[in-house]
Formats: sequence, C-alpha cells, structure tokens
Amino acid sequence: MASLEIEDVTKSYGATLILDRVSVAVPDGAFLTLVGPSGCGKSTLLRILAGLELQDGGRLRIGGQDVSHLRPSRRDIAMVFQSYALYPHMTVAQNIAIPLILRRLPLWQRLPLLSRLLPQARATLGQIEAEVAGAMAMLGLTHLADRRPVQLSGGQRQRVALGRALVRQPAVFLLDEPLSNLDAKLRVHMRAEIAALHARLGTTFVYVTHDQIEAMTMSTHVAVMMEGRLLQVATPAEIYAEPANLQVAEFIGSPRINVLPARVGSGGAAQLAGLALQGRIAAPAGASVQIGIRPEHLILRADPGGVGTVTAIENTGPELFVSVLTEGDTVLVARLTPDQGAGLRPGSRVALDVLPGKALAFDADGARIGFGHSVAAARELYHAR
Amino acid sequence: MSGAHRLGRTARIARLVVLCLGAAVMLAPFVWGLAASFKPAAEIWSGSLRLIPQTFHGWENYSAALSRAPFGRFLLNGLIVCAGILLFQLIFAIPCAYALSKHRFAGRTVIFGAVLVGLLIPVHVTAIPLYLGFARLGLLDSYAALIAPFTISVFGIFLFRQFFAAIPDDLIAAARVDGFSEWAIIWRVVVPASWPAITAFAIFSVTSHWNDLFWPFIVIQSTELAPPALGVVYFRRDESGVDFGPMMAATVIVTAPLVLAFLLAQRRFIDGITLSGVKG
Repeated sequence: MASLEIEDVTKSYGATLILDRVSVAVPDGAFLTLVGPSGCGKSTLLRILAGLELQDGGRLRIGGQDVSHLRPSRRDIAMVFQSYALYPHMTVAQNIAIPLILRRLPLWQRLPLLSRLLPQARATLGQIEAEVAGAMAMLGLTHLADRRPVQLSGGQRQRVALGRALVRQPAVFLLDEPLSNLDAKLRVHMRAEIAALHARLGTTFVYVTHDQIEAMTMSTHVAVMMEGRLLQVATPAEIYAEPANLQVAEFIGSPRINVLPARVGSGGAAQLAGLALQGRIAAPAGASVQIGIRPEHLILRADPGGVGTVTAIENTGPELFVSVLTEGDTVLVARLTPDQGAGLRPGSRVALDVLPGKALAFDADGARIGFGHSVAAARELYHAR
Repeated sequence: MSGAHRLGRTARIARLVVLCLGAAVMLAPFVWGLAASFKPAAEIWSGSLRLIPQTFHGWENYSAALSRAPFGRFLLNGLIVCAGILLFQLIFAIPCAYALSKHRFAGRTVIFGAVLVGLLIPVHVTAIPLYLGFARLGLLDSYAALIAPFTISVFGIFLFRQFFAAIPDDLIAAARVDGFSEWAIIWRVVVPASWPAITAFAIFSVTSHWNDLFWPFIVIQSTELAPPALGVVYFRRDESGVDFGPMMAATVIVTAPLVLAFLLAQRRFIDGITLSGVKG
C-alpha cells in the first residue's frame, strides 16, 4: 500500500539517452501502465524502480520514502517478469514460498535440519506454508503445488510468477510485459485476472506493456513513453480522447488515427483537401497544422459525386474498417457499423464528413492545439448522421 | 517411398558399421588389457590373438598385483586428490564465472581475456617454476603439492561462464528482488540450474587428474602418496616390467573406478539436461 513518485529520472548507456528526465506520480492503489513502442525506455524505468538498474539522476519514492539507492529486496516491491523467471529446480510451492523464507527466517534458521528442529523456525515455516497455500488457492494452483516449472503451461507459470509476487504483500507490484509470452486467448483471460487481482488487493501496480489494449483496459493511469520521454500521463479515456500530442494520438487507437496536413485559413478555419471542418484552430492564419481524425469519427455517405473512393473494406464482424482514397492521394480509414457500410463496395464514390467537435488539431511539431467548434453546426451535423 | 525407406535403412546400417568399427578400434587396447589380466604370462606372449584365456589365471594375477603394491592406498590417494582438486576448482571457478557473466564491472573483458590466454598455456610450461616454488615452501611430496596447482581451472571458468551466460538475466533479477544475496544467488539459483555443466566439468577434471602422471611424477617420492597412475609406474618399476599379467590386473584395478564413476555420472548428466528447463 503506497503511493509512487518518480522524479526527474535520467538514465543513459554510454552516449545513448534511455530516459530523459521522466517524472510521474500516482496515488496509492493506482494501476499505472507504462506503454510505448519497444526501445522507448519503459522496461528500463521499471528496472530502475525495482532497483535492478541504477538511475544516473533523479529520485524514486515509494509511500513517501526515498528508495532511490536501496537494494531491490529493501524496496518493498515484487516483480513479475516477462519470462516468469521461476526457479527451475524448485516446485511451485517452493517458488512461491522462497521470498517469504528469505525475509522471515534468519540465515542460520534456513539450514535444512535446523529449521525442522527449532520451535521458532518451525512456527515461522508453518505460517509461511499457510500463506503459500492461501496464495495458491487464490490463483488456482493448489493441485500443481509439487510440480516443477517445466511441467507447467505458459498460463500456469504466469500464475506462479504472480503468486510469488503477491504472497509477500508488497507495497508496489511491478509487472514487465507479463502477458506477451501467452497466446491471444489466454492473454485476454489473464488480463481480466490481473485487473481483478488489482481490484482485490488494492495495491499499487506498475505495468509495462507495448500493447495499447492492455494499457487501456487495465489501468487507472496510462503513461505513454517514446524515445525515453514521458509524453502524457492520464486516464485511459483521457489519453484516447484528449491526446497531448500527435505521437500519443498515433500510438493509442487501432486502426490508427487519420492524420491530414492542413493550413490555417482566415479566422482560424482549417483548409484541407477533401474535407470540410467546422471550428477555429488556435493558430495564426497561414500556419501549417495537422488534423487528426479517429476512424470512428469519420462519416461516409455513398455519393456518386463524392471526393473519395473506397479502396478496401475489412469486415471484423461487429464493425467495418473502410479505406477511402481522397484528394491529395491520402488514404483515410473509417470505422463503421455493418449497417452504416451496407451499401459500400470497393470502388464506391463517397462523400466524407467528420463528427463535429471530434477532429483534433496539432501544430507543425505535433503539439496539441485548440480547435473550437460552433455548437449549432455540430448539433445539425450530428442529427444528420 | 519404400525405396527411400530402404535407402534410409542401408544408410543407417552403414553408419552403425562405421561407428562400431571406430568403437572397436578405440576399445581394442582396453579389451586386450582386460583379457591379459586373466591370462598366465606364457599365454600373453604366445603370439596368437585370443580373447578368452585358455587357462584362467585371473585370481593369481589380481592377488599378485594387490599383494605386491598398496593399490587400496593408490585408489584412496586418487580419490583424495581428485575430490580436493574438484572441490577447490568449483569453489573458485563458479563465483568467478558468475561475476564474469552476470556482473558489469571495469576490467571484465580484460579478465576474461586473461582466462582465454590461460587456456592456451600448457601445464608443462609452468611445471618447473611451480616445482621450485613448492620446493622453496617445503611442500614437495605432499597432498598439497598434488592439489594446489590445479585449484584454479581456467577451463572451468571458461566453461561455466559460457553456461551461465545462457541463464536468463531475469532469473538473477528475480532472485535479487526476492531477497537472495549475491552469494546465495550463486549457490542456490545458479548452481542448481547448472548441473549439466558442473557434471561435464567434473568428468573432465576427475578423469584428467585421476590419470595424470606428469605432475605426480615430478613432486611425489613416497609410495604412500602416489595417485593411481603413479602407483602403476611404481609397481612396474618394482617388478622390472616383465610380468604382464599382474601388470594388466593393476591397470584394470586403477581404471575400473573411473569407468564406473563415469557410467554413473553419465546417467546423472542426461537427467540434468532433461530436468533443467531454465528457459521455460
């Protein structure tokens, strides 16, 4: 049970800057997901949090206590690794018990014979066995207690790794891409299981992934990282709806957000090929900007005189992803319900519109800028849909 | 289809024949020695090639060998020396290899380079300086002289480093998070995951030192300190080297424990490979 503060953490390997003054703070009980493409520094940040790597600068606080220079075992953290990192020569029960044994029994009491003879050590061991049994029951591992890791499936190993972490009741859980070695179906299942575990334990979780779906579905806080920098920390809904910059907007969301170059006209109007947008861009006239439109905010209407041509339709069942070639050789992707896309075929001419108030504007450097809309026009368009 | 199958079978038979021939060539001296240890002298020198002795003279040969030289003592010496060498080699090589493979520190590549260079230096080069050193220390003709020069095995360091490098870093990191000390990580996480390498190294180490004649010949004078190979030499010297029956019996006595140990270790070796699923 602890809040977590990361303050100005910097790390480089030789001349390569891995983390560039990363700061993030989350309250007790948060589920913070560090998400970004591979090589963005998210795993390094997690390893620094764990104390497995030493930061070049900056501080880390867990529950208000400065842990920047403490050994991993002193930080009151537990970690789940991508490869599970179970001890191959120990059984499931032993794997889960080992962190407790190492913490609660002094060295001399851990000797195989003494621990059985000393009443105090025996009492401690009994207590540990009870806790391990509890953890195994919670994760459905009881019937596997005497198996070794090689005899387990991927999902079972994953659960043992979770058990080894949670049995200690740490202040913070660190999880490094724990689902990436599982098959797709199991991944969805374990995703729900980890989220449920977080809800039940109420402990602070820090979760590293490159999978935006994991980030969006499990977290209370999503931190998007790229090239060693933290781009935005916000709730999943906010990250999606109000990305702070173009990189975040492009990273989160599948299919990717459509990005169109545009120019700011007189009075802040957006001038771009093939699309009419209401609203005023908060940028001087003549500036070049980029307009981002999520696929589900793009409206297609079959129209023989329309500017767009449907080039491909992907049917996923509940929705269609429709690619449209429009003026300026840009391809936009729209997400439609099967009903909305019923009349469309590859080659169909379509007119394009954008759900009012939903287009996002970014300046030439990718930073988000204001894009206000006229309310009346928005309402009109919405009902027309 | 069946033609291809038949071709596969002929190829397999050919391979088996070649392997059997190779094995026969390798084993022939041992088989001959074993057969000779059961034959009387006249039959050994008869000139005809016959494996099964016509007159069974084994009892006489073996009792002669055992009565004329303290072979029990030689075997015990071999055990003490080999166990001592292996123990120290493991104590030194495992932590060293762990540091070289899992820690980043200044001079690591230089030290590993030195290990590789050490692999290139034959034991004979250092024999004279070592002999002089032991003479100066007054340690000649002792177990210490037999064990000490081999306690640090660059081959062991090299072998373990390569093996440890394949142990996932995550496993070490998990052990650190769980609260193992570095020392405990070595003996309780790395060593149990490395049994195949340790067994392989033990086989190399024990066979080479059990059979070593060169170094014991230099530093040992007393018969009661002689390891097995040197014991056979003493035996031969004492018996003026003509009595081949007891001589071969002596050789069999000296070699048998090693062969048995190897057969046992081999099973363990295979177990080790199948049990250690480090990679998950």
